[in-house]
Amino acid sequence: MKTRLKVLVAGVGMVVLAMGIMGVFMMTGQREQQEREVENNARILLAAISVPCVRALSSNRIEELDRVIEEFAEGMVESADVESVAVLDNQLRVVGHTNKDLYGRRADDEFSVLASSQPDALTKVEGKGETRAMLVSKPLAASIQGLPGIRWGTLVVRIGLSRTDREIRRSLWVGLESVGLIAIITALLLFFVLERLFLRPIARLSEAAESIRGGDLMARSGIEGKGELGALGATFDGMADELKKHTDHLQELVYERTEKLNKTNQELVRTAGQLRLANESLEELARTDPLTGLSNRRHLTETLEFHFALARRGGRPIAFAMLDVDYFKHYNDANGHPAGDEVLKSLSDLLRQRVRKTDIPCRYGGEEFAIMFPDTDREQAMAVAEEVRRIVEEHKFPREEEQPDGRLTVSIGVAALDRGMMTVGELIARADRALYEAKAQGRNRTILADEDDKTSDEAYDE
Amino acid sequence: MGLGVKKRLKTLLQCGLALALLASCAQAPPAEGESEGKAPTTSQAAEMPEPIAPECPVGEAVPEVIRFGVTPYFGYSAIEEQFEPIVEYLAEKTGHRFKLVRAESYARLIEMVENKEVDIFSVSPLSYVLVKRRIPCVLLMLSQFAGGSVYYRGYIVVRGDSPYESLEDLKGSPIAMLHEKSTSGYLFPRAYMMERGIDVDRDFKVVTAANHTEAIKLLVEDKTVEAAATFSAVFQPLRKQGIDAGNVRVLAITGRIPHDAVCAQPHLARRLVVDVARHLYRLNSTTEEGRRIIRNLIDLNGWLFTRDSIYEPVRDALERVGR
Repeated sequence: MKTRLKVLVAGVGMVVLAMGIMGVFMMTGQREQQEREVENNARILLAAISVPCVRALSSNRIEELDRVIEEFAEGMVESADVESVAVLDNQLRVVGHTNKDLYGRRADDEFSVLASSQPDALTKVEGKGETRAMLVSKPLAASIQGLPGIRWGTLVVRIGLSRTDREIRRSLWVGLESVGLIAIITALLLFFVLERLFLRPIARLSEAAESIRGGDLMARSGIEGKGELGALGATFDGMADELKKHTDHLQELVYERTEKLNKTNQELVRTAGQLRLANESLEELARTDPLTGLSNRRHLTETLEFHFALARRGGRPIAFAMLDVDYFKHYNDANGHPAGDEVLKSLSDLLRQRVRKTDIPCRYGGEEFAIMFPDTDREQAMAVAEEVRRIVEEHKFPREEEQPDGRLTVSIGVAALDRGMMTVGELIARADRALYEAKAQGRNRTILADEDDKTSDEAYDE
Repeated sequence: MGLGVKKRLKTLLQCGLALALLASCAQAPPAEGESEGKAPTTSQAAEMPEPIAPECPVGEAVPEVIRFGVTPYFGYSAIEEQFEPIVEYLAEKTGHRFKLVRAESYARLIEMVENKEVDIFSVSPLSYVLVKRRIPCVLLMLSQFAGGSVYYRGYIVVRGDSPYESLEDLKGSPIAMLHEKSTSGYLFPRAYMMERGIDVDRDFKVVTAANHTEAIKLLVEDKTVEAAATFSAVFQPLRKQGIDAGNVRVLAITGRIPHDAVCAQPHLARRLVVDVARHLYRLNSTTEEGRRIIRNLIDLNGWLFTRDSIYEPVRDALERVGR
């Protein structure tokens, strides 16, 4: 629509411009032609009256000159736009004039002076608008067959051009109106032809291009024909076909590649799961004692530090117990290490069965075990530890009767967090000291460490 | 023989020069005498416009006294006051002595030309044609420009109270005409009437007048004739002479007649002829001096450089009357 408007505006603009130029040319041409006609008429007029003027002037019959001028004035002045006729003698005196008041005066205007000094007839257009007039002169002279003659004066006629100008303008307007009408009709026809031949196909081409840009690869211009636009439309549609084919091919490729990628992703996910499981197993292995399946010492220490810090910050209780198999070396020596390992496994099972779900038992090293009691005060921990000792005592281990006490027992040292305790080391050291205390008191017993036992704590932290 | 060739070459050279000058002066085609656009002023000099025939001798004579021959139009006495100022003017301008030579008649002037009794002469158109016939090498200098025209016309007039309305009515009546060397008083009226089937000698009783004044006197004062053959500018001088020229009516007007010609004898030096022609050309009614000098010549406004061809109407008329 924008293009159409532009074409229409351009068409109308060109028509107006062409009319303007044509008007100027017509005006100029008509004015020149009209001026030539006026000049020719003036020359005919002057030729007609110059003979009697020469006759009267050369014979010094001024009254005859008057008659010539008067007759001329009566017959010609109004019809020919003649404003004045002047007869000047060689001294530039007005000896005849349509205005008798000017008789005897000296004509000193530029044209009269020039015309009197020139052997040829002169023409000059002067003034503007309503005062525009043509001055035409003719020497009043007599000669024979072009030989040097005698000049008696000069005839000067002034012809007003305002009426002629008005006629030119009027005829010009009439002409321009007709031409303008034809030009506008022509412009409109031209516009419609252009619209049909060019703008419409271009619009279709544009719409098709826009649709393709918007994703509709099935859009086509549908322009046909043998001209350049037809060729352009065919090329465009061909290009759109190629684009469609290419896009389809690309989509197929994308689909195939996506399928492959999905499969690869699935593989990766599966592999990642396996890896995660492997990692988890590794982690489990890293924190688990391989013989007993309990947490190992490293895991216990990490967990204990975490729960210890948590308890200290929250003012919650936490307790820790160290457990050692009584005369385990003896058992090993007597029964062999595999039997000792079996004892350790059985002991581990007993610990797992007895402790609470929140409690964490671990193999601390060798025949030593430990139990962490999160959120548990010393009495509760003591009770659990004692229960563990009792179960072990009651459990029947293979060839336990060969032990020095005739049975397989454990000694347990229990410690709990108190106000003065700053580190995990202190807690472990207290439990460990309580364990030795239990060993020292004869084994197969549970000893609760005293509160504020600083010395032992420091010794453990070393 | 050698001298003859030299003379001819000189003549040819002069002719060429004259033609070149003529070409530079001539601008417009032939006309009846009025302006044709280009209007040279009187101040412009001019050489002899009329080509000189190759066979004509190159004049070299510069007479001590130049004799200016004239023909009386209105009586022998009037001629002096008409031409004397002109001769004096020429003498003053050219520095030569001039003498006015008056011929009693047109025929006599022709005779004087033939006898080389005059050097420069002003003759009627018919006389010019006749002189040219006899002396082809005579130099045509100027033609009179009078009454605002190069031409004038012959009139056949009757008295104002005359009952005659046409030449047919006039048949059998006495008519005053001039002698056979007069252009408007004899040749053109005869040719005019001949064209209309009137034989002057048969149909009229011709009374020969010595000049135009006498012819009009015979008509309006003596009333011995019923008509007179004269010319268009006759009335003004007649009125000056107290003749009742107003009491006439024009019955017929002839074809146009070129005015009198001023010529020079071929034996005169060319520079003298050109000098005289130039000064006579400058003498016209555009100036106060000119008007004063030529005032006594009837309607004369001045002289124009001329060509022999303008006298063709005279030759035609001569042919028509069989002469």
